[in-house]
Amino acid sequence: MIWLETIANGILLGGLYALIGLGLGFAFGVMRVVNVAQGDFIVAAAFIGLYLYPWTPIHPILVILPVALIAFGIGILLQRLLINRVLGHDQIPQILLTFGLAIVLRNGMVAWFGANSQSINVGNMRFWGFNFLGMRLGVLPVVVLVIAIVLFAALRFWLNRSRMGRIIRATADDHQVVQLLGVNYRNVYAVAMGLALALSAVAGVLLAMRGSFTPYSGADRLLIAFEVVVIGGLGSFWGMFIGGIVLGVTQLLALKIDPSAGLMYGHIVFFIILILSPQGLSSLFSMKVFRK
Amino acid sequence: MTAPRPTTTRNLTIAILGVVSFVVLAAMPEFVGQGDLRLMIEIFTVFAFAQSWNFLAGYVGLMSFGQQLFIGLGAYFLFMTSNTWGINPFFLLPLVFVFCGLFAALVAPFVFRLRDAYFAISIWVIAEIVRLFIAQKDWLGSVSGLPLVVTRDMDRTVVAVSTYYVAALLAFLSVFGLYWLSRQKIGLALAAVRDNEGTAAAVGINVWWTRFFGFVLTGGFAGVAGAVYYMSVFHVEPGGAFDANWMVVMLFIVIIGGVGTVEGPIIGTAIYFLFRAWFAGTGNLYLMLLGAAAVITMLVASKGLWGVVKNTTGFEPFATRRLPPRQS
Repeated sequence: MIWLETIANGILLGGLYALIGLGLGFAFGVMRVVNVAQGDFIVAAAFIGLYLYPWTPIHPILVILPVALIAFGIGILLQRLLINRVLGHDQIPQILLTFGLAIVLRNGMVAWFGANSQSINVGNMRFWGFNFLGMRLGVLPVVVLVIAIVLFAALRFWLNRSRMGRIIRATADDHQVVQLLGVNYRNVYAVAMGLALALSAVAGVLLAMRGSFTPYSGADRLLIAFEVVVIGGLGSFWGMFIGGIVLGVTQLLALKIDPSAGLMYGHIVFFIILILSPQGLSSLFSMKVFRK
Repeated sequence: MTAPRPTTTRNLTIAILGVVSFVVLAAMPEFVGQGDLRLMIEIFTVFAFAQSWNFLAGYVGLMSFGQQLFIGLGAYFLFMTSNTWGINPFFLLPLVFVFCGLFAALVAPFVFRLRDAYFAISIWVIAEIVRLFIAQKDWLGSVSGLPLVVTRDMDRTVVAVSTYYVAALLAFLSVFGLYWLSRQKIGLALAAVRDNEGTAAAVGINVWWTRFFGFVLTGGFAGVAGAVYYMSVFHVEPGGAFDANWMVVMLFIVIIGGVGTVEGPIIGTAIYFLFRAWFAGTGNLYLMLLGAAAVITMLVASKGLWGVVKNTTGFEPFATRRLPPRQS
């Protein structure tokens, strides 16, 4: 039973990991841009959440809304002011640019907030639990998983059905051709980066509610996001979700067996999947939103 | 009538530069004190790290965020073998090259399936796996690391001077060896693959094997440099050897100086050590400065400082382009 409970908790954690990867995967799918600073933006969002939640009405968990809005704005600025300037056939400049940004952000946060471990307090909700099929599960992890699923579904629905979603998909397919149809792909990119950061920000705040974080957590967050995207198969939506769950379950099982392992077994499972199936697990699913 | 081949004078310049720097490097221990020698070793090994990454990114066209993997691997391999069998670590350096090269060769088939940033981060993931693995194993010293036992009983001055010579050789190789390599057939193949895979394949270059060669070579070289660096501090621990901040240092040096040039990282290394001397006490501010400088360089002059110098003065001693004969 203890193993079943661990697996169930791993699935709950995995939903959150999937959400961490979603921002990175979405940005890559639309712009072929890999934002190496994504992990540090996730941590920055957690800090913003930490300062905003005491003022959040009704329930602290609603702090994800203002943080997502702020992150959306930051994403648009980031794309417009920095990344759009180095876009081109060569990917190296934008990767190096975001790497530099990550260093600035991380060390800026250490200087500003100190290196201590922090957590967003959601009050009693942290301790609530319920019995399900004989397992004891926490309410907060379930709420977090539900939020993750809702965001995945909402993003997919919005991309498929809305006008802006159509424009984004068209831009992802060919950013040159959409210009003939009167679309400024740079503006679309800005919106896409805003969305990517908003999704990451929600993940960052939820992660800070479930556990703790320090300004140095960004590197681990980035690696998780990256593994989720690669396991899922670059650009596949529900593949990413599966990728997150694979990582979440692996991590919790590994912690049960070997408490000092940290993320090692997650990294190893990622590597094994990479060896066995270079296309990621998405080769098992054909629901692709973006063409490769 | 044929104009004199411009490459002849260029070869002469390189030869003179090579001889002069060889002599200066060789004579250095006679003139500087023990403390300065330590600093020189550090500068040369860090420069060698930077050149190994520069070679990978600027010549092979593979960007990696996990070059610290080879630094740590090289150091740990040297410490383990030397401590276990009591061998003089200097004799083990060629073996370090082989070991790190082999490791690179083993992972290459898998990481080569990923491109660009995904390739870059997958190597970082491997570095993390190795770091976490070492931190858990007591026979590898776990979190607190390993000391280098053998050199304890040796004459301190001899060790310092020998380490200096190895570090100087690495620095020398990462300038003149890199230049020499980039003029060889394989160097030209690397450049072709970096610039345009499709065209390179079309003229008969085996893209995969060319990349593989570059990756293995840089892995072995970075491993040796890492081993020498940690040999000079006599102690290695996983947190430091596999620290992602090594990547920050390498990126800063190469980006500021200019990616894909022999000269750029020389300037970059000089600036890095000056920065460090000025701002070392400021902790995170100093790292922020490094990051910000890299961002600004990418936005303003993506070819780095050396690119600016080259464009304004036309001075380029280590040019690998062949100039067409002058028309008269």
